[in-house]
Amino acid sequence: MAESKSLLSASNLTKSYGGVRALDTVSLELSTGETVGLLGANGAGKSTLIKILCGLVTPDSGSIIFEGRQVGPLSPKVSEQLGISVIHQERHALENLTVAENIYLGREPKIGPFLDNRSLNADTQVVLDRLRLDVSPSTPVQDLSNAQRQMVEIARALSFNAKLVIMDEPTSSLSETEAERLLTIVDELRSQGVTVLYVSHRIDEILRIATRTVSLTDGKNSGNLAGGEMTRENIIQSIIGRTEAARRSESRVAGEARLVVSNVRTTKYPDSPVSFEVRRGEVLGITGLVGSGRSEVARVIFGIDRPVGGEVTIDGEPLSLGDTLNTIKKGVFLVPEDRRNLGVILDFSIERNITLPSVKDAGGPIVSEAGSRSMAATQIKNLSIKCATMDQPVSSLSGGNQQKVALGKWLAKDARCLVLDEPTCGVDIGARGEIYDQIDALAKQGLAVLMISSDTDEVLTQCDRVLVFSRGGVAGELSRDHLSKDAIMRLAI
Amino acid sequence: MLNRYRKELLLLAVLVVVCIFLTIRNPQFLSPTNLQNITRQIGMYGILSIGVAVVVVTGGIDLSVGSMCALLGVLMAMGLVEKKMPPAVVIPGILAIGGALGWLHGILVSRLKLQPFIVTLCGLLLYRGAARFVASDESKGFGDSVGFEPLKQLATGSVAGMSTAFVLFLIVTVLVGVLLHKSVLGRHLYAVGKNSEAARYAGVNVLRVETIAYVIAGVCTGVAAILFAFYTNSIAPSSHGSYYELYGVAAVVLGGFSLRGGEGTVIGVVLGVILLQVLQNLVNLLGVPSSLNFAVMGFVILIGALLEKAFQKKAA
Ligand SMILES: Nc1ncnc2c1ncn2[C@@H]1O[C@H](COP(=O)(O)OP(=O)(O)OP(=O)(O)O)[C@@H](O)[C@H]1O
Ligand SMILES: [Mg+2]
Repeated sequence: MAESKSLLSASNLTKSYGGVRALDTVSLELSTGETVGLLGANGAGKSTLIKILCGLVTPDSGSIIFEGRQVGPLSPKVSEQLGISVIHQERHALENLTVAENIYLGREPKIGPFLDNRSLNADTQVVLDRLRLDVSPSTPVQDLSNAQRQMVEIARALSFNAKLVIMDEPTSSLSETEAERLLTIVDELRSQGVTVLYVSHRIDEILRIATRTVSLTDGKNSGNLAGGEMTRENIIQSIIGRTEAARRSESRVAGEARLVVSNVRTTKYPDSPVSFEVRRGEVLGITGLVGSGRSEVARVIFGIDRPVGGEVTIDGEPLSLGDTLNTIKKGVFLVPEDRRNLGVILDFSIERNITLPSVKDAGGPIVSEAGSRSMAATQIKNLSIKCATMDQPVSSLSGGNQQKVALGKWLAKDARCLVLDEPTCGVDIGARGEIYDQIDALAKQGLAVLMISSDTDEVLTQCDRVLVFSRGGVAGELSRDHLSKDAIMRLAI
Repeated sequence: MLNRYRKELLLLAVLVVVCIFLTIRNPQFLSPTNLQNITRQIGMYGILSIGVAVVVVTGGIDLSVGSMCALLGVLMAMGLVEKKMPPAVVIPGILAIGGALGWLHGILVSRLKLQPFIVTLCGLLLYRGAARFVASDESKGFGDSVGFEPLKQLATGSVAGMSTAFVLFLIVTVLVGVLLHKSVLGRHLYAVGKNSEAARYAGVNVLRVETIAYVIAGVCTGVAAILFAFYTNSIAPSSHGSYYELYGVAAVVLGGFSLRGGEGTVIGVVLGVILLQVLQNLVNLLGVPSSLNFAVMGFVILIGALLEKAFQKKAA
């Protein structure tokens, strides 16, 4: 490699939140044109570091040198002008604006004082084409799926022609195909000399694109891996401090059918009836491209959306569709995909979130403080939720730990069927193993688990059977013996 | 701990300062008569405000409570005096009507998804009109009629040196305090106020919880309406209870509730109510022109909001 030029040098960055040291004298060196994987367990401080670099968070101490010049206090505006552009872990798109307006927010092309809509949309189309994202620039963002929104965020970051592009878990809600498109773009960026700092809990992606990695553990630098040292084992070691073979769940013995979905037609795909069953003790995977109608079916099962037609039964009893309370009473639970808006109440404490579905189960009108706290403590321990106290608001947790809270609130309650929509989105590899163990234990107790996942690795290792969705319908079913990446891909497209 | 009750402590400090200032300027403030009087006002407005607080927790608002006081007061006076119905029927009846109107608001807000502001604004106009219509726009009241002394005692009497209205207020406070802070329903109320969609995904019966909040507000208004009616003894349907909804909302906001929902404590409303009444008292005792009454109230709420903002920034 040619002698590389230093682009950014951050040193001794420290940031505390109350008593929690999110970052402790962290340093980071980035050279022009490299792609650096930023590794660390949930709550290690990755997002905090990134927020400092883009001016969203002010560090307590430390300094940042960009292109040889000391930069003063950063603000989002200053950081943007320096040429740093960020795809945040949590999406920020403004729902009621169009795709184009979101991408060019704050720097709209103008003719005199007026918005130049034509060139706005034309410019946007170029960026969208580059991502091969099939939406019109004038679509309101609220009409897009979670993954499409994520692609819009990516499009926005790319539209800056930045020198440094930072991506904080950009693929966590994307399927293999969309993720691959993004990785190709990262390759392109590198060949154009753009530096990329890339955070992901998907090891394969790091192996595929990073030229080296930097690790954080509990807010401190914990070693770097050069290109040659980057193996799966070393990467896992640097994230969770131990190696862990990719666990494949033992094959389970499935019993009789528990959840039976017959001819369900969702409002999004009214012409594709979906039928399948999940058996006692089985983990059924559903995968497919983003927008293939997986989450829609999950919402119908849970009673959030009313279907156009069809029926769902649990242990032979019909669920009254469109009635979430009834569904929950029958022991069918959903962990939704959109954790920040639906999976947790951000301003509520961890304890209140975890116990929300079960406080009323104790029977009396008064909450048992002790019972509620011990229930929360159990989930915090079982899922290793990293927190200072159970009374802190969920908004102060790292992304992966928020996801664990969303999951924990249902694990605290007796279930017959669990529907998990992207259950490990943003969860680190160590905690992922713990979640898989929990799912496995639940299946062994006879639960029917329906796992919707875009993470092929997860589908391959954790599911007994997999349905591949395409355009709203089941494109095919793969038994455990026939599961492979290729087989899934063939069906998905 | 300190942090959790930051708003309440701040409010308490302001209250203490105002009381000390008032005592120095006019020692009359601590006279038994004045204290009786002020605690009676606190009691009546307090019961009203606490109902509004429960609705505000869910992210709603109730603007109808003032007009409802007039309507219920008129109905009660007419029932007792003109129709000679027994109090044992009329009093529960008034509370039931209050609850039923609240339930109606709740259904319109939760099931029909109308905005709380609009629903209860319509209530404000409707009940005022209804009160004037039923009473043929004439004042209704008890005059010198006999037989209601025990009921009058509720509003004007005292137990163990404390005004009865204040004692009733304490009872309501404890009940609502337990409801909001110790009960399952309370957790659900706050959950709905913070994020009703996520609450629904967690199995909270959002429609029912919202409706109950308005029913509670309606019943509290019923209790307050009874007290106000006996206190004034004569109910002019066109003016009785005017602006009371604003006293309610003001006390709640001053008490640290967010109109966005999901925030606030019972202690907060109690302090808010007390501070508002002490300010009224201040206007009287210090000889401030009573035309400035509302202006003083508005000024203090504004200062409160500003202080809160400043403290928030510091804490972050
Ligand atoms: N606003 C906040 N208030 C309090 N604590 C916070 C806040 N933001 C972050 N933290 C804490 O700082 C630590 C680092 O969080 P950060 O979001 O940087 O983790 P992360 O490495 O990005 O994790 P993940 O992989 O789960 O996204 C965590 O312990 C988190 O709880
Ligand atoms: Mg993060």
